[in-house]
Amino acid sequence: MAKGLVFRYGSAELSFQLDKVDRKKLYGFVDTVVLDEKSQKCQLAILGGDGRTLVGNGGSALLMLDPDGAYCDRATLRPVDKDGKELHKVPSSFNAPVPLSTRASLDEYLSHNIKSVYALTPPMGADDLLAELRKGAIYSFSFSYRGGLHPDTAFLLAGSDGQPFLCVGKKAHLQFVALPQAADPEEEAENQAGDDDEDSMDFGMM
Amino acid sequence: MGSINLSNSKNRDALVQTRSVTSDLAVRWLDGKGQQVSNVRVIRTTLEHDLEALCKKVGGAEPLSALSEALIKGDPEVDLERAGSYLRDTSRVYVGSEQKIVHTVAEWDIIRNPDGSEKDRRAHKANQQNVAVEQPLKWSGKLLKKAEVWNKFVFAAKLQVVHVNGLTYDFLFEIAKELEQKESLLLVGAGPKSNQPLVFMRGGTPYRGFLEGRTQGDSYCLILHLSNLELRAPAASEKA
Repeated sequence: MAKGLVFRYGSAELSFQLDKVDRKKLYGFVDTVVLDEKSQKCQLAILGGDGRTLVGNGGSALLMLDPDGAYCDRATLRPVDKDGKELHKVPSSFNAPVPLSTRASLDEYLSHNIKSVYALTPPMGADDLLAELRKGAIYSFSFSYRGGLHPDTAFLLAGSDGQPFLCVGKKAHLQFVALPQAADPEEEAENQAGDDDEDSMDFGMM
Repeated sequence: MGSINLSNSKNRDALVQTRSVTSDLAVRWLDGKGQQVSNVRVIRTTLEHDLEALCKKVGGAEPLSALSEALIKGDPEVDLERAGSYLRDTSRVYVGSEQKIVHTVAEWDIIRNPDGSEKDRRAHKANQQNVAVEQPLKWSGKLLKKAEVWNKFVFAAKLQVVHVNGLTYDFLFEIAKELEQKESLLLVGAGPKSNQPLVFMRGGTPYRGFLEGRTQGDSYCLILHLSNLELRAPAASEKA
């Protein structure tokens, strides 16, 4: 059995089993087959810039080079964000119990793009937590499946049928928008005072 | 920025913009001197030197054994001229069984059930964009209470709908206010009956759209939630 995700709920530690939910499992999927004129299967390849070199699946690799073009071993590099602040790797959420201490509002949940969904199989003794989730409670916490630089936000919630789910996503950058602010009222008043009706009716300037 | 041709509850329509709201996850890697390193894609092996081509070249009844011998004796898998060179200005092409570029292809979609069994087979047809066409997305009138619908669908993506001028500011602010007051999401669909999924670019993923409005004083936030998945467990999990 795969390692479960352990939640700390009150004083209890509850280990839930995860089962990924995707379109393939719910609705099936579409395979696209590409055939040539002889009805033989074709495969995708990369054509190099020289117009001759063909590279198949797995035939290329990504390397990191310093500004002088020398190869850099990834282990010797350190990651920073766009402002130059050092980033640190977070451990996998499966390594230690996840405390359920933060509740999320509906608007907070709806402000995230959900990229992965897992159906949860609850353990014995999770009835109180399930009852709370079924009343509409949403718990949120930082989540990383394998560990990494960018943990996601996960939401523990119950679906409309009462089944518990873990929805993992990233916060969307939503912004309230308005019309541009009106210009400085004093400056505006000065401009209006300086306007001369005769100037605006000067046909000679045209 | 994209465009969307949207109608309001009074059946007035306007072409407005959509803004991406995905997170910007820029990670830069620095070397020991604090200099930023860059990624480059290089060639490991060409199609002429991959397993299939090499097996064909050595031939025989057991090509894999023959190839193993050849690999011990020499380096037939290495293209000395091209291995390690940068892969830039590339194109995606189809190649046939002869490892040559194929210019005329037929694409077929095989529709499969969740268990992998074949359900249907049809010629591939790319979805056409349908959100910024002549016919606006109609006001479907299907208002779904936020509190009832939030855990029925997986909102995998969203776009923010924004104005392009003063007139469309009023237009969108009114929609946002109306939806906020009703605490509802509006089901948005394409086509004359508003029942077709939304496609934002040719060949793009079709989504169901749910429009949400929020306001703060004179400002508004009109969010188009996109979903192509219901929040429910697959059949096997349900049984468990």
